[in-house]
Amino acid sequence: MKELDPLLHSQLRLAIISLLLSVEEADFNYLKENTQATSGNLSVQIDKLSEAGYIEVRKEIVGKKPRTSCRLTETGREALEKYVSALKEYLGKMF
Amino acid sequence: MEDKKINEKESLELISEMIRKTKEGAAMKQDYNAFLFYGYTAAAVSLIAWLLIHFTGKMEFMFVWFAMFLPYLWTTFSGKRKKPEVTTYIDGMLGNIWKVIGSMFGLTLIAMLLIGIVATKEINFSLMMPLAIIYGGIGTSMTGLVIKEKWFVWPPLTGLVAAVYMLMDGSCDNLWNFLFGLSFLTFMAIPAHIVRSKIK
Repeated sequence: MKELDPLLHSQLRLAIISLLLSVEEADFNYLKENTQATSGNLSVQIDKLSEAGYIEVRKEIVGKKPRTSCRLTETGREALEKYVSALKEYLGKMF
Repeated sequence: MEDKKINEKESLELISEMIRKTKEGAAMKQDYNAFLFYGYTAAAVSLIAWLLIHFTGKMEFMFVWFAMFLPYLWTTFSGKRKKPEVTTYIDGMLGNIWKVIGSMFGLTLIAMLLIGIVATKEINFSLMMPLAIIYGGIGTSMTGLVIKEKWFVWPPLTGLVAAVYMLMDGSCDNLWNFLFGLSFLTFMAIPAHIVRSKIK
């Protein structure tokens, strides 16, 4: 049986990746609002996903304010696909 | 939400919920303000141009049409000051469509200017009016096709009729101002109001 990716098998990291799946780019506030996570926790998880190459993080200044935006990479997309297929395999064996 | 482990069933539910949230959010955030802005600016400028020419008889007042660059400048600079929280793939595609349409406007103006200076020895921007209706109509129809919204797909055809009339007529008169404003009102502002009311 396939092993579940430990990086994705966490509530907040999986939520971030899933949110980014159907958008081209989302900023920190959007992810915070939709995950209801604290800024500190969200930052830590974004860093972990970025270090793994699952997401690309861009920091810029827009209208004198800092803006952090994230987008899913091809590696991240493939990782999520593998994760979902492993999940289906697990659930298929259970029922 | 926290950094906690979840079981397999919860994982699948979470993925579905997040995808649903982004789709709903994308549908709600569309305001079509740019269509309203361009549509009403065109209508206002056409009315001003029509009144000025009607009461003075001077076709030189056609220069007020250069005010149509104001909404372009406004959307460009406001876009740089404030970026959206989320950009969907559809947003990206629509942005590229309108970049091409915008380039067509710019290149046509440059071509008219150069041809006027080099070849015809007379700079005449009058054909810009029917061409602008055609370009704007193509952009609006393509937007409608991408977002699957019939109210943006078909109304530009009414503008096309006005543009064909202008091209065949050839004599740039005050009626053109009326037709131009009416066209933009019909295929940009009115459909934008209808689509916005459907979202609400």
